[in-house]
Amino acid sequence: MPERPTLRRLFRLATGRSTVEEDARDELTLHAELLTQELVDAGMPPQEASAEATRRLGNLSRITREMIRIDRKRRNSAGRAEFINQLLLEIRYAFRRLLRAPAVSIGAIAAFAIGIGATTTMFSIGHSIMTPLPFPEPDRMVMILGTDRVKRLRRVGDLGLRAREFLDIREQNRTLTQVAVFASDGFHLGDGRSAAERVRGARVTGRLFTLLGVQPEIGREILPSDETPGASPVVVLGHKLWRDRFGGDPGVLGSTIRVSGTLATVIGVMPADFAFPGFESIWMPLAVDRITATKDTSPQYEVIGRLRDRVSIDQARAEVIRLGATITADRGGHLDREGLTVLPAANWSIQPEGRLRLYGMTLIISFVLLIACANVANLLIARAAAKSQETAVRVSLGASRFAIVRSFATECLILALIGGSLAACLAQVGVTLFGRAVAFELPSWIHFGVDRTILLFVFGLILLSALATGLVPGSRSANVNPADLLRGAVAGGTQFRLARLSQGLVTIQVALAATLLIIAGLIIEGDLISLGRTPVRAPEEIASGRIELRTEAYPTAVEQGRFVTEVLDRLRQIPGATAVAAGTATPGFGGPTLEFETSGTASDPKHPLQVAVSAVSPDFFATFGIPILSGREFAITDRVGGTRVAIVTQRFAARYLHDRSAVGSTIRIGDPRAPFHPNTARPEWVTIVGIVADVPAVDANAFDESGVFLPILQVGDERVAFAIRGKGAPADLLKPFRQAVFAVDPDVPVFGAGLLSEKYAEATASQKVFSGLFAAFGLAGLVLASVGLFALVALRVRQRAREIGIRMALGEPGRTILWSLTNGVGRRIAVGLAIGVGLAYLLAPLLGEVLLGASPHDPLIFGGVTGAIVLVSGLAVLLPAYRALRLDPIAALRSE
Amino acid sequence: MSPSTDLLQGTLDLLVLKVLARDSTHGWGIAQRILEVSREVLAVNQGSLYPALHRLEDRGWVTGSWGITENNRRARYYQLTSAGRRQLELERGEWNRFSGAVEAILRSA
Repeated sequence: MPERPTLRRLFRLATGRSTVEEDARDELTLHAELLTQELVDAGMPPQEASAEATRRLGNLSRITREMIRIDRKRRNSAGRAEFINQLLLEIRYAFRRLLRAPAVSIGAIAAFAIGIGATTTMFSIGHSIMTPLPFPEPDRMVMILGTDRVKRLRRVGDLGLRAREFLDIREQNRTLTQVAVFASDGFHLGDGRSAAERVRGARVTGRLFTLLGVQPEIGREILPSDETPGASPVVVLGHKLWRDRFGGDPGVLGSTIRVSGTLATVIGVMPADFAFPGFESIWMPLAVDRITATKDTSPQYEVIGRLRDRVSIDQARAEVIRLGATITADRGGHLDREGLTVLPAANWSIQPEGRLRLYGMTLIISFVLLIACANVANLLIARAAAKSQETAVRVSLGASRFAIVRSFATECLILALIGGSLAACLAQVGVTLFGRAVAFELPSWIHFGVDRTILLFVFGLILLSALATGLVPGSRSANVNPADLLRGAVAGGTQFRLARLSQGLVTIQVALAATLLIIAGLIIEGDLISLGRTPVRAPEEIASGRIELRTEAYPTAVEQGRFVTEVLDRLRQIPGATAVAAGTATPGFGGPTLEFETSGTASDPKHPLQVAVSAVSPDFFATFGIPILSGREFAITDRVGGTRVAIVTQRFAARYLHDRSAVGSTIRIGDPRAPFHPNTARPEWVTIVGIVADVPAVDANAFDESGVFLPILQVGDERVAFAIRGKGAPADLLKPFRQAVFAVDPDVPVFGAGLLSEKYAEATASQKVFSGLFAAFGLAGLVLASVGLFALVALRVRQRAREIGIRMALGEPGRTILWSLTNGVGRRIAVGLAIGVGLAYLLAPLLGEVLLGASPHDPLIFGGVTGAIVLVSGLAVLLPAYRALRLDPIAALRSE
Repeated sequence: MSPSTDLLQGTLDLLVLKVLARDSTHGWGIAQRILEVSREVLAVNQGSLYPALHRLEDRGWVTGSWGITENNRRARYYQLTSAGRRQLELERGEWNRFSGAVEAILRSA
C-alpha cells in the first residue's frame, strides 16, 4: 500500500522548511557573534564587546524587517514562476498525450466544435429574431388578434381584427393606454414629369407614434382627427426619404406633395432609423370607416396596443376576450373566428411558419447537443480506460489523486478550447449565412450576430458534461490498486464499470442519432417536395414587374381594364417577346382568399368556403405554360358587360364540383379586390368556362393550391403584375417594359421588376437555408455518433490485444474473434436503433405542418435512416475490429 | 573604530559582487574580505550588508544557501550566478568610467 499522498505532504511541510523570519535572525545573530568574538580576541571585555557589536550592526529589528520583506517578495514570485512552469509542463504533457491518440482527440474536438457550434448558431439565430422592438418598454406592447376557429398550428396569430372589433376595443377598453391599427402599403410619389417612385409605407390610425413611444423629429404625428373621412390628407415622412427626396429641408413641413395621386400636406418627419412595422418610410392616416365597419367583408387589421401601468397582459386579454364575445353576440355569431386574444408584440413580425421552423430547429439542435455531450463523455471515458495502466504507473510512483485528476482535466480543457474556438468560427459563418439569406424578410431592426453569452453558456455546458463524466473515471482509476493493473489484470473492476458506462452511452447516442436523422430527413423531404414543384414552365424566360393604379385615375374595372390592354399591346411589340399577360397574382405565390359558394350546395354561413382568387388577362395560362385541361382561356371579349365567367383549377373542380361537369357550372365569389376598397355590391354568379392544371405554390407559406381565376378585363384591379416571356436575354425585356408603362401613364410606378426564376429563388431562399441547416445538423449527429462508436471499439480492441493475440496464436479463425469483439456493441446499436426509430415514430406526427406535406411516417425515410445507421455504425465498429485481426500475434502479445 | 570612508550608494553592490567572484562565502566573510583588501580603509556598514545581499539575491545575481562553517556554525553562504558575473562586468566598467572622469578633473584642475 503506498503512502497516502496527502499525509506525506503534511509531513514534509512540518519538518522541511524554516521560515523567512528565522533565517534572517539566524544570519544576523551569527554575524553579531563573530563580531563579538573578534572584539573579545582584540582584548575587549565580553560585556562591552557584545554591546559594541550590536551598536555597529545598527537597528537590528529594522534590518531584519527589510530582509524579511525582500525574501518574502522573492519567495512569492518564485512560487508564481514555479506554478506557471508546472502549468506549462502540464499543458505540454497533455498535448503529448493527446497527440499519442490522434483519432480520439480529433473526435473529441469535432464533438466539441459541432456540438457547441451548431447549438450556438441555432440559439443565436433565435435570439436575434427575438430582438425586442426598438421602442421604449417593448414588453408593454401587445398585439390584439383573432383566434381561428380551425385550430391549425400555422394559423396561430394569423388573423387581424375587423374594423368594428378595433373600434369597439379602442373605445371601450380600460386596460390599454393606446390602441392603433397599422397596415403596410405601397405608395407612389410622382410629379407627373419623371417616372413615379414607389415607396414602402404604412397606413396608421391616430397616435400610433405615441403608442410606440417615438415622436417625429420635426412636426407632429398623425392624430385621430386625421383619420376622419373628409379630413384633409396628411403625410409623415421617414428620415431617409426626407433627406433623399426633399434634401432634408425643414421647409417641407406644411407643403403639399403628391402621394399615390392624392395631394397631402407634410406634417412631420420621423427620426433616422425609425421604421414601423418593418421597412417603411412614409405614413398616412388610415380611416376606419364606421359604415363599412359593420360588414363581415371589412378588411382585417393588425392591431397593436400598449398596456396601462400596473395592468398585466392577462388582465388585458381577459378584457379583450370579453369585448370580443359581446361583438360576436351582437352579430348573431356570424364570424369566421372563435374570438379575440392578446399576445406579446415581441415577435409578431415572424411568420407563424418561421416560428414553427425555429421550434423544429430547436428540437433538432437539442438532439445534436445531447449526442455531442454523450460523445465527448464517451471518448473521454475511453481515454481514461485506455490510460489506466499509465495511471497505475503514475500512482505507484507517488502521483497524488489530485495530480491524476488535474492532468485529466487539462486534457479535457485543451480539447474543449480548441473545439470551442472552431465552434465560434462555425457559429459565425452559420449565423452570417442565415442572416444574409433571410435579410429581406425581417424588420430592419433585426441584425444577426453570434451571441457571446450563448456561446459561453453552451461551451460551459459541454465542458461541464465532459468534466463530470470524465472526472469520475479519472479519479476512479487513481484509486485502483496499481499492483493489479501492472500485473495486467485488464478486466479490473474499474475498467469493467467504465466499459458498462461507455456502452450505455453508445445506446443513447445511436438512439438520439436515429431520431435526429429521421426527423431531419422528414423535414428535408418536405422541403424537397415543396421546392421541387415548379409553378410554371421555364420561369427563367419570364420577366415580370408590378404596377399599382390610383383609384382616383382608374376608378372602375373599365379604366383599369383599358390600362392593362394598352400596356399589353405595347409589350407585345417588344422584340423577342413571345407571349405577354397580366394578373393580380403571379403563379406560385398564391393570392388573397375569398369566400365562395357553388350553385348546387347551400353555403353554411358559419363555415364559409375559402379559395385563392386572382384576376388574369387573356393568354395568361399560355404565357406561364399552365396547361388548359378543358374549356378555354379568357379572351379579349371577357370584359366588363360580357357574361361573367371564371376558370378554376383541376383540384378546385374535383373538390367542390365533383360529380357535375365543371365547365358550365356556376359559382359565386366574394369581392376579389384589395382589402382597403370593400365592395358593397352583392357578388354575382359566374360561369366556369375552363379548367386548368393545378398551380403549385413555390414557397412553403402558400399551401392551398386550389384556385379560381376571373377575367381582369371584367373585374379589374389596382394592383397588376405583368409578365413577358421571351427567348434570348429576358433581362433585356425589363427596360422596354418600364418604357411601355411610362408611355401609357408616367404617373404609374413599376416595382419588383425582375426574372420570375429569380423571384422564385428569393421566395425559397430561407427555406433552402433551413433545409441545409437541417441536413447539416442531421449529418453532424451521424458523424458524432459514428466517431463515438469507432473510438469505443478501437478501445476494446486495444484492451483485449493480448487476448486476441493468444486466440490468433492458438489458430482461432478470424471470424469468431471478430464476432466476440463486436457482438456486444452490435446488440447495443440494435437496441439504440430500435429506441431511436420508436421515438421518431412518436415525435414525427407532432411536427405537423413543419413537414410541408411529407408523411410523418414515410417508410422511405425510416428505412433509409435505419439502413444508413446500420451501414455507418457497422463500418465504425468493424474497421477497428478488423484491423486488430491483421496484427501480428507476437506484437499483440507484447503490447501489454 | 578607525575613521573610514563611507561607501557610496551602489558601490557596496559592486564590492560584494567582486568579493564573491573570487570565492563564495557568508556575510561575515564578505565584510572581512572588503576590510582586509582595502587595507582597512573601507569599513562596510555591517547592518546594511545583509539587506544588500538579499536584494542581490532577489535580482538573481547571487544565490544563498545554508551551510556549515569550519567552526560548525549554521551560516548562509552566497555564490555569484552567471547573471551576477555579467552584472559585475557591467558595474566595473561603470566604475572605471566614473573614477576616470573624477581623476581627469582632479588632474586638470
